[in-house]
Amino acid sequence: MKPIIFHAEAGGQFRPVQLEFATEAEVKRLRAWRKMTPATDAGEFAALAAKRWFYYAREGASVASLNELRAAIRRNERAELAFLMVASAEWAKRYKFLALAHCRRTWCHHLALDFLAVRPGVMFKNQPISGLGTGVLFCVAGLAESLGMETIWGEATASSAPFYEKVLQIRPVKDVFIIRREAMRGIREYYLEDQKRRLAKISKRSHIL
Amino acid sequence: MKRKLTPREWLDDLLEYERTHPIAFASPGALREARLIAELEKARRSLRRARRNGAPHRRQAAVG
Repeated sequence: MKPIIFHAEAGGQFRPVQLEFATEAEVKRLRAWRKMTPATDAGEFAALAAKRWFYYAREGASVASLNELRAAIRRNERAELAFLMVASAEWAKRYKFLALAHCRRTWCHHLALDFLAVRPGVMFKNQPISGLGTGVLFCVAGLAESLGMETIWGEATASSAPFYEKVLQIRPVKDVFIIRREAMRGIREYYLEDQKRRLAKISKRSHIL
Repeated sequence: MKRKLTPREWLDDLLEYERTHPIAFASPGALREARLIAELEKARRSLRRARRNGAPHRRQAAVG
């Protein structure tokens, strides 16, 4: 499967980031986030998301590619399956991974978002990289749509609710957020429309230069 | 009533949010389970280590 591409703002420009299913070796590498100092929630979540992935793997319920996911669903349409999506970028090679999302395909073919984390302190040209969390979330939503899933859901907390409120343009988000297919399609179109506009601006500028 | 943001305003707002807030979110249920898995693994590892070091196997308590 080709990686899913989205764009994040880095060094004053929109730059491509690729999102892929993590392989077993990549899941192992993710655990290194925990060693970062100072300790962060993202570091802990990355290590715990990896633990969950391996726990599911022991039961044969972790997948490392879209093909594996489709095949596992074909074998058992009520299977609960876990997968980890990791974001990386050619222009930010010093970071193996920029962000992650741990997802579960539930028994009734919905997508549950368990962990969403951006590597703390990611910088490019001494400026923070922005738009990674949003980009990962929209790509995961696109993946769910391509798999014909009707619903994406997750549990929100005091710290994540404001983010989901902004992304989903719904207020208030409380314990649980549920995104139906139609709503997600609308928001994705909104997102892609603006990404296209920003990219066109960049290519116009580089054309002039 | 709050007006709906244009795509541009909305994405600018999101980018600003990401610049100023760490994105590290976990569903409390998933977090609880993952911590439990980690604890179980730790216990299993220390049991294995103890066995390797010659500690006798724990016997099941007799019932009755």
